[in-house]
Amino acid sequence: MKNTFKALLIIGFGFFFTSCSKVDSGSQIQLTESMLQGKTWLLDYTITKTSTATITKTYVGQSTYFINFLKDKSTKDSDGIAGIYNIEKVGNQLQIHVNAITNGSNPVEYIYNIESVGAKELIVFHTTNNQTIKRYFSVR
Amino acid sequence: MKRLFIQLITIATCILISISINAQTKLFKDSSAARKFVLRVSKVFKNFSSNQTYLYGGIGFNKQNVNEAAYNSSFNYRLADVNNNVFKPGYFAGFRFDGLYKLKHKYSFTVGLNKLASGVKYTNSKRMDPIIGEFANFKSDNQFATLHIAAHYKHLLPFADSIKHKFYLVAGPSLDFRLSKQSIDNKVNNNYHKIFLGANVGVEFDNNSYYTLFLHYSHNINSLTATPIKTSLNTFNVGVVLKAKDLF
Repeated sequence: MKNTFKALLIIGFGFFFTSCSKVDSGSQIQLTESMLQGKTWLLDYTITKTSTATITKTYVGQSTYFINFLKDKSTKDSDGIAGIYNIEKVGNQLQIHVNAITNGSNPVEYIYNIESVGAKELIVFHTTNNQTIKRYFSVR
Repeated sequence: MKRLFIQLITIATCILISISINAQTKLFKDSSAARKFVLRVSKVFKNFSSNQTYLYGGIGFNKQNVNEAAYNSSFNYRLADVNNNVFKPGYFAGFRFDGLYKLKHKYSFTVGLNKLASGVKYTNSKRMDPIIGEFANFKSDNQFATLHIAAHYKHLLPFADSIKHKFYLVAGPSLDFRLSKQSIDNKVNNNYHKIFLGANVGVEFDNNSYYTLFLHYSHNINSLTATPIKTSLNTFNVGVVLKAKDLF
């Protein structure tokens, strides 16, 4: 009987010491969607980094670009580009993948890498032609 | 699945202890097999005597202290929205078994359910200029239910008339098994542990065996969360203990 209790104690403490911190991709996508959806995201800043310079532009207090992400997975921005979006995880990177049509009925596809997302702040980036452009959005 | 297994272990432990208590009342005297089993269990607990069963309940005031400086994730939470440096009330109830160890050392063994609600104090902050001011990458769960198990040594304090009114200093370890699921904010990285080990200290006032009032302070020994997040839980429990046979 003593051995039984010892075994129970050992098993109990085995669980106690298990501290695996494994990433749940499904939950990450679900949480990202819940933070993005149903809001209008306004562009506040862009930071463009090249190998030689960093340029910061601010749009705070100005008429600025905005984009909506709706709960039915549709999206529309201030340029009139409308379509659908998906939250995806590629490798360790969360992404917003947009398939849309412009005002002139031309198809357009783009991907934003998510650096940080919250209930009121969103930072995305993409890299083209050796320059990384970060966009800082907020909800007001 | 793991949670279910933990619950089964806990229930099995409780059953074994309950059986040992019942052994003294010869509950299973009609069944020889059961009697043998009870006798075997009784041997394990032969030094625990004069057991009495009680019910307890009360209010617990809880606060978590969080340091997540070394933790990174893709999610940000404004510190102004999640930081709440107060003690918040939860509640608890359960069974308690009081007795004597080797006929002289008083102890209590507690099994109950805790519904924790807690304030959260962040001991660090991060900044991501230009738009995000102070923020955290981790949002603490401020409500969860646990299965609480504690064992306390009771030391009689030489106050007042110790025949009618007894004051005890109590201390001992506790284990809390998280029963509620993590919020989606913490499920993303499986941040919270399933078991919290704690240390308790407190005072109890026994009013002529009619009832016992208690005030316990509890602090966890292991972090509530997986590394690198460090989360400690401070709890003040205020409650009352009543004899089960007085109620039923």
